[in-house]
Amino acid sequence: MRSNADDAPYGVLAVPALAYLLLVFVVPVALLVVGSIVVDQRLTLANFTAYLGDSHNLRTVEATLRYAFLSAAFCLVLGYPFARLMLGLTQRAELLVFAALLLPMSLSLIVRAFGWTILLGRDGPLNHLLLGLHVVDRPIRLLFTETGLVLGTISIKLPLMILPIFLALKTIPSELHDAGAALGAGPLYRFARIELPLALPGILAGFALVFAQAAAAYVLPTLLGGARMQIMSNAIVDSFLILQQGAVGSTITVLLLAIVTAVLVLTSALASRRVHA
Amino acid sequence: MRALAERAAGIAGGIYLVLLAAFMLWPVAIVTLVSFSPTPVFDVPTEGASLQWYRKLADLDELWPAVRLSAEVGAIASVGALMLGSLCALGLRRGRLYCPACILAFLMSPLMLPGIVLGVAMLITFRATGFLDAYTSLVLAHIVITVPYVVRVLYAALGLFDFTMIDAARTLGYSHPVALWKVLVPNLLPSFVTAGMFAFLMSVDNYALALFLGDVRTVTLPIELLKLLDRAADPTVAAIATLMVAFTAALLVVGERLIGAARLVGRSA
Repeated sequence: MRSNADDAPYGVLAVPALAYLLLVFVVPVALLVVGSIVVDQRLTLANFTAYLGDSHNLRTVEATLRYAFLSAAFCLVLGYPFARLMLGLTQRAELLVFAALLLPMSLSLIVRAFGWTILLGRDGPLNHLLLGLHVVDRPIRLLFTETGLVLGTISIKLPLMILPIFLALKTIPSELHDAGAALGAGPLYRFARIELPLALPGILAGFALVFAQAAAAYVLPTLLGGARMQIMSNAIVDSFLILQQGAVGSTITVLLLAIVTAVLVLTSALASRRVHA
Repeated sequence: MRALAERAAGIAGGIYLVLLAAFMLWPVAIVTLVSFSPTPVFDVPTEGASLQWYRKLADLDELWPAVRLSAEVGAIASVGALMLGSLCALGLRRGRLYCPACILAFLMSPLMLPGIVLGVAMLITFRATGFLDAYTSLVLAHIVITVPYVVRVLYAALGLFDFTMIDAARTLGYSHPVALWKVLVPNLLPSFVTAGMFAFLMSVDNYALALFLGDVRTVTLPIELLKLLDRAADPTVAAIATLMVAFTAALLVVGERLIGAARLVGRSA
């Protein structure tokens, strides 16, 4: 029996929130995008070709893509085995691991990035560790290097990679592995032909999340990369708050938005093609 | 022999899990340790703990206005998001809307967009419309990023709510809005509290919007923290950071008491 509540116009209740988002979210983003591709009432990519024509700017974009790719790739390499190992845990241990993954995510990003500036310092714990293990014989520079930045980014973004992979792996019935084994498939073959294709949507989702977040990160590159690390997010902030060049800032912002959107759309298209194939 | 190999693999796997989990938790742990350091260098205190950096917090003249501003903006934005978001979740659950899944995806989209992009978009829009009050624009912007959390929590909660209770209340003579207020709201109170808490935490933690929308006199806690870190800081910053962690942890414990760990985990995942 459908309840008589249906006679009340419940749908109207969604209108205020939708109207609010339209006004304070959709309109600003549309203004930003339109403002960067419409010059003198003509549709043009002139802003972007002008920006990318400068070799300094091109290096900024390259550095951004490189940083985002390295972060996502390392997160994948480290996170996949982690997600895989989570499958074998008891329910209690699984809850504990979940807490370890989710707790840091709810804590301030600035606090965690600050933690890494301490860890990476010349006199910091990481250098002490490396010295103690005789990996190096004198303290090495880690803070304000790309290595340090990527290291910190991995540690902070890893949960974003692990969770979607874990959820994808969890849907694979264990009988599938046994069936493969019974048919004579070796562990490597089973991994490549059974596990990996089924885990692919999770891998792609995790990769896209980490890539997109790293590409648009500001706090981490500022605190761990230092002034020498020029990437798009810093360039945007500088052009609005220091150089007062809003037009250039808007161009870089839209370019960043395009990159992030492209990665998200591309990966989800790949994932759904895999599922339907 | 085979059992032994499997056992060894199990132990190695366990070590990997613990090591990588430690790698993720390490930065927070180090901040807490350093905040009790007896010396002004950023190092793990080996001999004795000291509260001197916590005492120094009182002298930071610019810190407390920032804390107050963040708390105010967070509170106002959370209340606004709770009103908009809970009504919207109810509309999505009970109304006959075209493609509720699409509307839900749209409502989540502010979280998909990089914070920097959102900040820039709002900055140029507020500038173009001549709307320059930093405080109000911060509140308006923070409602945009907190509404998704409220919708997500309440949409899930409403899915479990038995709406025949509303019909029962109506049969007993309540009007529709009164029935919702007297039956639905008390029933879902834990979810409202959780949603408000998440919204508040997200608002207080957000730096990207305040970076663009704030001004010299409108400095939120994250921006003040970035400023303090920029001037070669002493462990005082670690003390602030530790208090922030303690505050978040306290809120999470309250949330856990209210709705249970498993559901909290399930929802935020």
